[in-house]
Amino acid sequence: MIAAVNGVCAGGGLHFVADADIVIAASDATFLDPHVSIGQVAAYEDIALVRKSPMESVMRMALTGRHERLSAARAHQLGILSQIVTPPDDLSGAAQELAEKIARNSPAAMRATKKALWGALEMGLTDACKAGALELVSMWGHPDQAEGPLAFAEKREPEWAPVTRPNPEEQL
Amino acid sequence: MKYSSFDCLEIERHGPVGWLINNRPDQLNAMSSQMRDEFAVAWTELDEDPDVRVIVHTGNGRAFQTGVDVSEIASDGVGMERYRDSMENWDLHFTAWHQHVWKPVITAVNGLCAGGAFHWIADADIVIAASDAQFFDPHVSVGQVVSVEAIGLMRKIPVEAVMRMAFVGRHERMDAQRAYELGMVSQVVDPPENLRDEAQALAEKIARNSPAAMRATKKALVGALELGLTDACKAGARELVSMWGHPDQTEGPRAFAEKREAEWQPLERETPA
Repeated sequence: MIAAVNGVCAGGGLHFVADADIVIAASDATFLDPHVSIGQVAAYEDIALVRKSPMESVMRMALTGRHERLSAARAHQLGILSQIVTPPDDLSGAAQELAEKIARNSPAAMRATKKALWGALEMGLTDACKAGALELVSMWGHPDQAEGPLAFAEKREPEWAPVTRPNPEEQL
Repeated sequence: MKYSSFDCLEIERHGPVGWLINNRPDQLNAMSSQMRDEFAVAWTELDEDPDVRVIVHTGNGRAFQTGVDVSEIASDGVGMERYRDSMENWDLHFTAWHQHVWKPVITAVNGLCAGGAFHWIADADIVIAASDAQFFDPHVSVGQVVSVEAIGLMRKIPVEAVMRMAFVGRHERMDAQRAYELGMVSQVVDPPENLRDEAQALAEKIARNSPAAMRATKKALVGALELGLTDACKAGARELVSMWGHPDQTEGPRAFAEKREAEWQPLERETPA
């Protein structure tokens, strides 16, 4: 999931930044969290953000509220996002281009990767690595594991096996 | 100290600094099963050597390291299955962290750093890079999962950068400057050929500090990655107190007052529990 931030991203809008795998932004994007300026608590979105980016910058945004904005350039330096698009009008094109790169990779391997890495935020390091090792092994024997190296050796694009959305009840 | 002989690694000692050098340059230092076994021995021996206070890990040739040796995987008839037990039973031995090395470890990234190479980024205490170093993680581009090394890394640097590398696979590379901005490395060395001199200089600075205090510090900070904040601080307080009464606690202030280098107590390797 790529979040492509155009313009102002404020308050609850940060949920979509915090919960995205990849974030890019137009060069004129700005970030702020005005919760405390209107007597509300900034919580879930910032808790997730402090797990993903340097903590000081998130606390500052949470506590300055509407009286300060984080620029796209600073958010890029801090690693809250990985790409700034200039001019801003090119944002959709850049997002599509990035998404198409990602779409060339194995869907099944990406799903297991996403489970391993997001799951890691829930656990201590060693437990997370153990759980991640199980996700890693879960791909062994999958057709993509043979197709990937084969396509690489034959210098062609791989033909990945499609993945279907699992029944949410089975996941629980 | 007499070290074992290695085919895939080189070990050197320069003053108080032990060097572990990946030495399969023709395979871009990809890790064969033999190299994997040699890492286990090399880390332990460097940790046991009383003359080594700080360890630097780097590579020969144009790559630092490029993960598992894919040509061995593709041709030996065993493939990744060789490693199934070690993964499922969490029985890894190829990084300093795996081997419970409590001496400071610096990774000095020369050239390419790809895929499984991030194990030695994630598990090092300090990482520096040559200005021409390039970072990328091609696992998903060859149908493999990104997991253990990225989990370690995402505790230490912004998660988004780790996720982007994980998902973009071999179709994009991160340069040393961006790695510096993100805090993945703390120093970029330019020109690149100065990397080893800079790593040695950094290691010598670190080697001037109390080995026992650094061990307790490393235990406190690495241990904090396992716990919630309050529990980590409580455990860290115990590491802090563990040094009280140690001879280095009186030698340090005395040497400072007398304007001389401290003479620290040597450390013996702790046998992992």
